[in-house]
Amino acid sequence: MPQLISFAAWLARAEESWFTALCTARRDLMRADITTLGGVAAAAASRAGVAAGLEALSVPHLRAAHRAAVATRVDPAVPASALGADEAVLAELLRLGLMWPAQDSAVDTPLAAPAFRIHSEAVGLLPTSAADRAADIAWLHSARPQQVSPTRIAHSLLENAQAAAAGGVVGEVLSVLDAFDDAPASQLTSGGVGKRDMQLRARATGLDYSKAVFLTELAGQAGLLGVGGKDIDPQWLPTVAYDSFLDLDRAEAHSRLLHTWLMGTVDTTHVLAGRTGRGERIHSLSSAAGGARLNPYAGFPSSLPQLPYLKHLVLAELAETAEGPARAQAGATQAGASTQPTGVPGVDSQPAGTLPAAAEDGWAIPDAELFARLQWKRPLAAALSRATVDQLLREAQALGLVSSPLAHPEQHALTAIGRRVAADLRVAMRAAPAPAGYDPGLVEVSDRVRGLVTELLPALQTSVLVQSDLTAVATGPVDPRLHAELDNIADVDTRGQGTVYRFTADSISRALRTGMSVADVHELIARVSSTGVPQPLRFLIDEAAAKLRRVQVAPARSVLVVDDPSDLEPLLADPQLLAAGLNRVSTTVAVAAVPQDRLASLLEAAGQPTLRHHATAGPPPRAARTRASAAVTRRSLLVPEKDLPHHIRGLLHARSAAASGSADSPLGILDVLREAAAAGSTVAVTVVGADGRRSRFPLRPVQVTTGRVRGIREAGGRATEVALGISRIASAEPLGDDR
Amino acid sequence: MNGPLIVQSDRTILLESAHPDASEAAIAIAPFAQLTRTPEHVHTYAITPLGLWNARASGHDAESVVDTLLEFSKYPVPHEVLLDVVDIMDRFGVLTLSSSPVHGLVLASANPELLDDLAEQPEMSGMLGARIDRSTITVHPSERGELKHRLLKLGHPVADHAGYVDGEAHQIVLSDDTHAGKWHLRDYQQRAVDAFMSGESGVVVLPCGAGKTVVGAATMASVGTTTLILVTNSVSAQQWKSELLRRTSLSPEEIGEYSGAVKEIRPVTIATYQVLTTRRKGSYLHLELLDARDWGLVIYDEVHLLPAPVFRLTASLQARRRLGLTATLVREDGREDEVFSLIGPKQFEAPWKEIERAGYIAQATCHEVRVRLDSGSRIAYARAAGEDRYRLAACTDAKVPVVEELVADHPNAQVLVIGQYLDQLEELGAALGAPVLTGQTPLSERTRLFDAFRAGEVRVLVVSKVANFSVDLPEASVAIQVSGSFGSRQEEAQRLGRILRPKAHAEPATFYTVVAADTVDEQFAAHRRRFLTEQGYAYTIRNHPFED
Repeated sequence: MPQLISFAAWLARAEESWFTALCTARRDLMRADITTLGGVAAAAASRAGVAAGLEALSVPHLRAAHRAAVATRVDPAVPASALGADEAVLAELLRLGLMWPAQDSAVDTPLAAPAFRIHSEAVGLLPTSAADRAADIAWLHSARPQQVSPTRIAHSLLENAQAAAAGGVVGEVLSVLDAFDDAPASQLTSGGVGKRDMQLRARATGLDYSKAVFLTELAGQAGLLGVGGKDIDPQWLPTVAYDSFLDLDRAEAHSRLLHTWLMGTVDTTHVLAGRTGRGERIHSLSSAAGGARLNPYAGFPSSLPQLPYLKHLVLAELAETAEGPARAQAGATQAGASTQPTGVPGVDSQPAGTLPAAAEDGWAIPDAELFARLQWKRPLAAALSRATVDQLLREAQALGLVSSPLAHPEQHALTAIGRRVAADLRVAMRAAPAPAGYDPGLVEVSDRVRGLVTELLPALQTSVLVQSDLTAVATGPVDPRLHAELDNIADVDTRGQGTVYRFTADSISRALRTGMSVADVHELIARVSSTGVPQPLRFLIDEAAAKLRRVQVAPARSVLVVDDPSDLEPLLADPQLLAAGLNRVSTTVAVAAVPQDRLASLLEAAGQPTLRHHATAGPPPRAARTRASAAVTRRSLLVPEKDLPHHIRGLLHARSAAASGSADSPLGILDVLREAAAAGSTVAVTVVGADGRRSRFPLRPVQVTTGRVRGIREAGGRATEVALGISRIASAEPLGDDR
Repeated sequence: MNGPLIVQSDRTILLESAHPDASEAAIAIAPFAQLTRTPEHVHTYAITPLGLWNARASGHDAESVVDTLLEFSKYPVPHEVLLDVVDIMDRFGVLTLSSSPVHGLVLASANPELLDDLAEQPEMSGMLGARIDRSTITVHPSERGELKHRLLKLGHPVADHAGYVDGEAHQIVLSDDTHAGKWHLRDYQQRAVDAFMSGESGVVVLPCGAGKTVVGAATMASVGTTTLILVTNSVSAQQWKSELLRRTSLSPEEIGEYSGAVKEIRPVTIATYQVLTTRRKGSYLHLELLDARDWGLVIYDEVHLLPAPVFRLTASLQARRRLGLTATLVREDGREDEVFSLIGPKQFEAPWKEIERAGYIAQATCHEVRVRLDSGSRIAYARAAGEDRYRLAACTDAKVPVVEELVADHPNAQVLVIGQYLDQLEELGAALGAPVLTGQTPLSERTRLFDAFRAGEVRVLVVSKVANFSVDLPEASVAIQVSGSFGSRQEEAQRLGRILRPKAHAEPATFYTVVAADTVDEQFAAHRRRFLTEQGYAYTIRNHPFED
């Protein structure tokens, strides 16, 4: 039987172009702390490394890798014929460092190798057992999606939709924040907001429940909602950031929300359902509350935050859809060789930034088609479900990124804003370290997007039309500061592009109670009204004030009541009661400036305290705390893009110096153990016991996965199966071929 | 984009009335948007499924509606609104009722799965007959109206193409200036008739005093068949009769009255809702009226008051043309959808202020006068509960001097004092020295009093709710409302309508409503006046005693 070669050996002996291709494709392996070829090989063979490679695969590539993983359970050398893969698929798997030629003889012509090997970790990561394969795994059986002709959406309709949405979403988020400001919601002990509270706020804002939940999540993730109030009853309140958000230019505000959405890690479908995919309970704002269990990286491919990655995929796929017809329109000469696929799924070779960003029709595809394409291209994206994609499209539509043909609401296309965002992301993600082509750290909303939005948004209204039916109408998006003033004295009747405020006795009374005077209310309305103040409104204000005055509540710490008016005079005149600050309010009643207990002690024999009043005043409370933890940012040892060529040169130089990792570094140990498991050979391992003592013995590894090695230990003529934690193994050295 | 419309995501439309294109935009959206408020600066319209289906029924498609919104909009239109419009309008016509020469009345759909679903619905049991093929199913003819109503409730409006019976022909000619008469149909009345004739069944909405009876007469002349007219009460029946005699070639012998006292069935028969809904031992006594002749047209006066039993009876009249007349489609019982499915879609509406500007109804000013209860009344009020509270507040003695003062303020005007409670009216009648007309007043006495009022012999008339509707008192120019049916908006509109008939010298009309401050009377008054303020009538509100 020919000698099998290890992955490290393949890297050491392969043509330089293959090694360079791997370094370019696997930016995740290019780390400052990995400077040797052995280190690169060990990292690529690690569970995380293999997972990162697998998550970049499309269905044809994944199926080939899967066949290899299944076959390698029997024999580590998998015949090429068993893979059912063409040369392009093989080349991609080699380039990503997931497979390599099994024999030394094929190193020079790897694509023609008779047999291949795959990392042993792939066996554990992919469904290779009979039981696993019996489960309903879509990518194992799905057919290539049929190409559907996209539906054209007129430019004017797209422009209308994006402009309405871009302006609308900012106003709607402010409405949600208003609702929380008017009636703060108590924080659940689990951290979020209860469903009933959310329903009340949805009703208050006139939004449907699912949209209110989405916007609340958006506000929470943007740091505009946080927990404040008393410790005994913490409440969700607008944060201090909300006050500064009000002052933002609206394009800037939209940009802030858009960035938050692109980075958002919460699956709104889970919030609406009340459970995550793994059955954990989740409420609105659970994530903003710092719910520790809500791991944005949860799922199979653990190297990427799932929701941001899926949003990127959706936008990229829609951008690709739009390009086809656009290219066809532009003519064959422009479409030429530069637009041929690179062979890397989902990554097109079209030069970035060449997409026209405006003044063109849109091309929509059915949501089902979009989902099928994503499933085909990224079958292992853990968040990829039809419900989630549909929800993301709704959210993208709310932000003005996508729209749909009027006759086909189940189809979507990118708007000009969406195309620009997708193009920017595509440019940025070329520097992404993960083989799947995504890095949340590179997400940003460009000035060009802001510029597009700025052009779309109408001017803010700083005055209103006040009418005799006791309404005031802002005939356009209302200045947030003006809205805050009017919201204080009127109820919002309808809102949207325009806002209708309705003055009622209750709303005026509310304003008067919070410290405004009648003159203040009159002055405010006269100042903001472009049509004067009609008599019924003046009457309403005066009448509401008169009613408030008719029964007044005096600020007093305690009240003294006597039956006989003649009893009160001596008390008021008594110098011993001066400290009580008694003040007569009627013939039989006086109020005191001290608490009732103190008054009682002062009065000794007389006095009947009955009521206690509270004065209400002060600015609205603001949340002190926002989110408890950052969601997606992580420290990185990755080599920066600018240093990458130098780093690769260093690795090439080191390639000739060492063919494998050190046997006493963790990655090197793993490599030795995996190779021994694949070859069925025995290694000498040094194990550190719980008491710190070291012992060395021969071990024939059977399986190396999930941080443990399972193998056969032979001692005293007896073979014993043992399982050891890799962390306990101080060194591992091959003992030679004992097959 | 700089049109006069602001389209909101909650499917309301705001129209800036001062915009140069406001009139054009209002006309353009009228077919599909329901005008809900017309205060002075910004009018509000609502886009409702009923409105969109109304538009679809009268030949407008979704594309034209979308184009209209985009053309006249000031800002981008929320995309979800446009999607909704298309989705809702596309639902109309998916189901059609038609007459098959072989199978009779059939319900057809291009979507067989929908028919499958509907056939399974428990609401449909007993209405649908045998399945002819996958896309067609027979319908029991007697269930035509009820079927349409139930399908509408399920969100599937039916396009009724089953046609109408012609009815028994009966020539009716208008006596207008084209027929040697001395009057002519006003432009909006002609448009109302044309709109009805193009839709064949439906509702015409015109302000009080704008000549709904004339529209009815002109429609009868256009259809030229025997006609059944359903009205609210016998006084109204008499006014219809006299108006028909004045406006058409009909002779007294051709017009019959079918009421509690008289049971005449003639080519044109006027019946009251009350007689039609009279029941004994659970069965309606006068159902035979509906089939007494082969009616070619049924007119429902004040369709917003149509009692629920009449709706059910109307369901069996679906093969006959139906014309609903009203000043407001607002129904306090929320049965607007039944009006749509059983009478028909709104075919024409003219805003009050538009008719006022044209000079066809009098200009009116509205005033609310608040009086405070005295101390004793306030204690009694505080201790009362439920309906008694309203009655105590509405009938307070404090209103009497106010009414006297208001009557005195209009020494040369014909004044109506309108109220709900008979004892209060009696008290006011005594204080004002004015006759009191209520439901208990004999018909002959009512007629005499109305005639005396019209002639100016009686200057102040105290009336109960019997005068709310269909009583033509053109000389009345001041109305003082002292109590009403709680918060009924349509009642307020009807009462204003009593004084809106154009005056001989174009004097403006004045409408007062006297309410007890700080009581439920004030709250109900606020609700009652909403319809009129939303129609553009501005109320002044003053406390009594007046400061000026």
